[in-house]
Amino acid sequence: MLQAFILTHIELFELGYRILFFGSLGYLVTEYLLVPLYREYVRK
Amino acid sequence: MFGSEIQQSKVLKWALGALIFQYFINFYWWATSTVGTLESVRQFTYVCPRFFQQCQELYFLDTLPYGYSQTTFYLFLLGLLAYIVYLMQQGRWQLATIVTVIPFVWHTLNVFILTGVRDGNYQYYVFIFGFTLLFLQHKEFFLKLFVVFFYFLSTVAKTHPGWIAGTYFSTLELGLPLVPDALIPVATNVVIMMEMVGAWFLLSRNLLYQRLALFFFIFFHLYSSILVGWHYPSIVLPMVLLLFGPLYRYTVPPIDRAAITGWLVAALLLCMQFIPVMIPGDEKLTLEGNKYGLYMFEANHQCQSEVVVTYHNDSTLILNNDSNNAPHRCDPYDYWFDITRQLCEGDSLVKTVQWRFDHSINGEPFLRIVDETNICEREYKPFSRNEWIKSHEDNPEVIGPAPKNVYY
Repeated sequence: MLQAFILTHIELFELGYRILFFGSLGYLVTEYLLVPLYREYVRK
Repeated sequence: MFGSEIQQSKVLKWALGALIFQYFINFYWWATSTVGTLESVRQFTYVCPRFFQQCQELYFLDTLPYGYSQTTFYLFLLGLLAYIVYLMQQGRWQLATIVTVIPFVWHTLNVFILTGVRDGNYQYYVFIFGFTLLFLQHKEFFLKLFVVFFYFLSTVAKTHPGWIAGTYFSTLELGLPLVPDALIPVATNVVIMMEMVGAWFLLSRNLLYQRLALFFFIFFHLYSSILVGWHYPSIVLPMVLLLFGPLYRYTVPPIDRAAITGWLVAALLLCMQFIPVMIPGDEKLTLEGNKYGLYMFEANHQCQSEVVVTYHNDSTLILNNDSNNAPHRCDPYDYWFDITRQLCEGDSLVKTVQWRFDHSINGEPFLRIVDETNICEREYKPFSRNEWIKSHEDNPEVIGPAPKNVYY
């Protein structure tokens, strides 16, 4: 059963989601904040 | 600041209307509630926020049948909401925005300062929508960002077996609505993935991805009403439709000085979400710091409380209180607050109060997380570990298996 499999490997799943969370956050900070800031810096 | 951006934007005009609707929904319930009233102090039914445990000193209203002051006060608020709608209809957006500060302040006081029981997650949305519309610049961008960011931040609370394995729902007697038990982990992981990654497509330039994400979240909010009722979807869904529906246009991320406050608010929300994680122990079990970030559906709770009151004449009274209602958080703070106010401070005949509190999350066995011979001697620290509340690391006594429970 899928639930039993996940519970057996729960630490792996939690680690995966944590990596995805911070990866997603990092990508978005880059996309929405750092890249626009860099473009503005180059334009000036 | 007040109204000039709103005056020029159809989306923001509608958003202000949605905010007034949100205040109406809340005040409709609050007008006749005893929460936050003088009667709640007399009856010891009030609970203060954990970081402001003397909130009752600010109470000044009484409601029916104990007094007319609260319903009279809400008459004023109802008139004010109607006046704001009138101003909007007249196109006087600047004045409408200024007047909206009054319901914003009252709502904020109620949710964060005056009581500890009106802090449902949907109220965090109402607060941030109001704050953005009234005080921030680049309002449309930040409204969109905060809606998406809230989806994203909610996954911090969901990174737990209750959601990853779906035990929150599989331990309910009725399971997850319309989903076979075997597919519960699939459904819960789809939600986590969409909130963690898919939600950002709501801000996309690519209209196909943007629309797919929008349809998912419309479905998600409508579906959620089977469990949570209409209150939460009524607050979030109108704003989602306004910001990401037919009126959607890609908004360039602002990076000027006027945007600094908005970005700082986003950073603050991120930090707040991690307060419960930073406090040692499993916050789903101890509930310490739980409400400083988004906590909706963080765990399926069951608990049993046994209080033994010993009076100065050595007579005893036993008070039992059980809950098998999954969304009832079984927060030791709420019980501690009630016991200490009502028994330790409110009854001079009481000598000691013994308290045992067993808590089960997501169908796991009941653990005795509080076992105090006199809880009156304990204080509750709002931002750090309370050593009298046990987490898994403290090896709390295992009391027994938890039965399947219900959600209502």
